[in-house]
Formats: sequence, C-alpha cells, structure tokens
Amino acid sequence: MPLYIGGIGLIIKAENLSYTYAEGGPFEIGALHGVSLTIGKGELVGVIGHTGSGKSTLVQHFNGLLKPTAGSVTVCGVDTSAKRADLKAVRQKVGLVFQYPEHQLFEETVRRDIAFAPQNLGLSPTEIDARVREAAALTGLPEALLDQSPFALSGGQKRRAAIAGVLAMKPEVLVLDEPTAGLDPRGREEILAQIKALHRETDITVILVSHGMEDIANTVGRVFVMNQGTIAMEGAPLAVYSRYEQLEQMGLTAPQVTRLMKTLCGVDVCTVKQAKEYLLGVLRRA
Amino acid sequence: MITTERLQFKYSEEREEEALRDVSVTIQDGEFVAVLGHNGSGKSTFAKHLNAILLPVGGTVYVDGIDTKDERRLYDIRQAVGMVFQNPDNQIVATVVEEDVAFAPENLGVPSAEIRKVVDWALETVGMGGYKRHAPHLLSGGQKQRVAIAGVLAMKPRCIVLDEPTAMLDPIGRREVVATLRRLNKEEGMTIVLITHNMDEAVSADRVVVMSGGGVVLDDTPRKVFADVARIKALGLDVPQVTELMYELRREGLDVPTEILTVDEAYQALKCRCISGVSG
Repeated sequence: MPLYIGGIGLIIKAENLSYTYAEGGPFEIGALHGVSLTIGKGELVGVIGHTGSGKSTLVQHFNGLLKPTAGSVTVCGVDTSAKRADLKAVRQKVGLVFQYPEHQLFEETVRRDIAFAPQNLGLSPTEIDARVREAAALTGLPEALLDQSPFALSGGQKRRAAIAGVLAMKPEVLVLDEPTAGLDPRGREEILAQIKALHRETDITVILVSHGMEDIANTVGRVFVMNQGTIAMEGAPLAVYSRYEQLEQMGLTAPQVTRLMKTLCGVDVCTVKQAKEYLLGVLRRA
Repeated sequence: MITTERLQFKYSEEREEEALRDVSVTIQDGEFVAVLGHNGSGKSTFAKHLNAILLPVGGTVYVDGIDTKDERRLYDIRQAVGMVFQNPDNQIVATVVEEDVAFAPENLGVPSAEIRKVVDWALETVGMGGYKRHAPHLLSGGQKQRVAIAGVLAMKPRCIVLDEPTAMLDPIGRREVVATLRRLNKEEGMTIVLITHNMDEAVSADRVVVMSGGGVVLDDTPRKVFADVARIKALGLDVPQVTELMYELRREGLDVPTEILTVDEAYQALKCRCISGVSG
C-alpha cells in the first residue's frame, strides 16, 4: 500500500469537485457534485459506475481537459484551476487513453504513430527510438509489428499501439477509460495482464475506468464507485463488491461468484479462485 | 429458414487463408441461435452470408429455399432476413426516431397509413414507443440500438441477424437489447441469429454455434457447450463464472454437477452440501 496519508506521496487530490456542463445555458447539467478523493503515487485504482455516473467527467479533470466548476483538483502538485496553471506540464505527466483509442491511430507505421508525441516534445532521434521501443515492450507489442501499418493490426494489437503512443510520453499517471471495451475475452485478458505488468514493472500510477466489474476485481487494489456524480463507495474490491445489492441499485452487476457465495455461505469473494478455495475448504471438511 | 452447405469464403484471391471453410449449419424457423467466437473466428463473415451481403466462394447458402447467389431474388432474401450491426450510430439515418424507423417501408412504397401502423408496432415491440418524436443522437446506446432493431423490424423480416449488437453498449444497454431479442423470439416467433463473443448473451439463446478458424467447432445447447470449460477457454472464450467454479470443484475431485449456468442453479446444487459442511 503506498503512503498517501497526510499528503506524502499523493499524486491526485480532488476537493469538493463539482462540474456542470453548459453552465448557465439552457442545457445545463450537473455531472459531478462535491467529489473528494486522493490517489497515492504508484497506486492502481479502479473507477466503476454505469453510463452517465460521471466517471469519464471525473477522469478528464485529472489531466486538465476539464476544470472544476467548483472545488479544486491538484495533479502532480499543480492546481488545475489556478489562473496560471501549467496545464501543459500536467498533460505531459498524466496520459489519458480514451475509449476506443485505436480510432486515433493515423500514421503509416506503428513506429511512427508511437513516435508522434515524443517527436513533438522535440526529443533527439535516439531518445525517440528508445522511447518507442520501451513503450512497445511495455504494452507487449512485438518489434516485428513496428514497421507495419497500424491499420493492419488486430483489434487488441491496435489498442496496444494506441496505449504505447501515450506511454511514449513517459507519463507519471496513466488513465485508461474502458480499455477493454469491444475486445473479445482473450484480448481483454491480455490487455488487463499487460496493465498489471506495466504497473508492477514501473512506478506509474494507473487509473482504470470500467463498467466491467470482473475486470476491476482481478486487477486493482482500490476501487471508487461513481453514482449520479458522486462517489458512492470506496475501498478494496472485496469490501465494495460485498455490498452488491446496493451496486445493483446503481445499475452495476456484481460478479456471479460474489452473489453466489454471499447467499450460499455468507462470505465475500470477488473472483472464481477465491470462491473455489473457500468451497474446497468447506466441502472437504464435510 | 436458413441452410448453409459447405460454405467457403476468402476475402481475396491472393490470400491463402480461408475466412470460412466448409460451414454447414441449418437454422430452423423460430430458433434463437447465438454464434460465438473470438475475433477473427469467422463469425461476422458467416453472418454477412445470411442475407447476401457476401456471396460464397464455395458451397451454397439457402434463405427460405432461395440460393443467395440468385441476384434476381436479392430483395426477397433481404426482406426475409434483416441485419443489425455493431455500432448503432452507423445505422441511424434520420433526425427523428419514427422517421428513421419509417425509412425502409417508405422506400418500399408502402402506403402511409400502413407505415404509421408498422412504425408504431416496431417501436412498441422494442420498448421505444415513448420516444417516437425524440432525436436519436440524444438517446443512450441501448436505446439507439433498439431503434436500429425497430428499423429492421419495420421491414417485417422473419429472421434478424445481429452482428455483435451489444459490443459498444454498457451493461444496462446490453440487458435491454438481449431482453428485446428474447421477447421478439418468444412473442413474435422471430428467428434470431445473434453473433457475439459475450458468453452472458449466448447463455440466453436456445442453441450456441461456436466458431473458430473459419469453421464450426461446437453446436449444442448453451448448457452442454459451456460445460466443456477447458475447450471453450482454449478457444479464447469465456464461460459463466459459476460454470467455471463448478468445473474447478469437479477437477479437485468433488462430485458436483457441471452443467450449471446461473447463480440460482449453482446455489441449488451446492446448498445442502454447504450447510451440512458448515454445521459438520
């Protein structure tokens, strides 16, 4: 568990953050209401919530794409709503991978696509090359694919290439908005394993946004549940998922094994493996 | 309703690999069939043969007895089998929901009183009757996809083929769409072919056809198909968590049933044993 108590090693802090789209206009709509949270340096956290719960709006504050209507967000020591806030620095430190990031691939080769951001940072060709290789390795893209057109890749590979393009900026924080959407089960597992490996091998902070409760259960250390623009729950996946009746009222579905084990034995689990181990203990004793 | 006989397909002459090889499947009138497979398994290519978007390189596809290669009968084929795609935004053409649904019958030259009736029926059937005058771009993903389904229904097809209709939807949108399909199947007797890689959706079908490498590898009820956990996982697919749990327990030598698909079934199967286990 990273130290973030009392502000040590804290990387993101939101205080009473509220955000209203089209404020003052006829289509004014409140998306966030008084959200306060802290994320420690090096943490791997999940944000879940159904469509419209405010999770995407929240993470867009983490790299200054949106500024709070009220309250404040501090990212890597920069208060994003301050008058002369250096948002450029924030955006270099916080890489945001949008939904369906492969739609943003555009270059002729994977190599040039990944190199696009470092090139714009004005880095030397050797440094750019090193970053491209490193980013490709971190996302599990084989070297052999680097000279192919990004459009010739499979769905899962395209997504890795797009994530590599963000990693080439060497961000301190990586925010992934629904990184597994639309992938088949194998592609999904591969991407999640790669995210876990990336987190293990570097000191990067990762924020994973998803409505796939199973994905989150197996991946993150701490989870925030968003509902109607507020944080409804926060804690370890096990503790949060055990309140599955409440989750269901928020339009989220707890994993099958969580529901089964709660009704069957009154215990909290969030993965098949945990359920299996518990049941083996009980049934073997019988 | 639909029969494919040794269906083969290649995307280009130069490329050696076949997208489909020797696919022989018969879909009966009124069936709800899920076609399950990982990306690149050939499931979408298969779907596109079911209303002549693609034509076989080898073998034959019959829709209502009509060979899909018969160009003169193309309209009959498309009238019988409607198609819904992954992204609802690519399928909606009008700026008002009811106008979008009316698009096809208008082009067929259906009298306007008749169009009114068919549009109302189609929207009611997908549970979107209250949104006739709404703008499609302000609807949720699940609502948009249901409007797209209504647009196909307005053609009064006997079969609907849906190519990963829920891939871009959130869990609520998914549930809405799958519930709509079940209702169409049960109440309207519509034949449904649902292409998916989501096992939760395949569970709600009567029959699951599993594709891999351009061929059919399994074809049975969801219960039988998913009980073969090792095989399904080796194919890069998922099984319901409770099915996996029962399979794992059995592998550890416990005598538990493996053809389990839902939480309730697992609960019933484990209930007595767990209670006696805890008290003993």
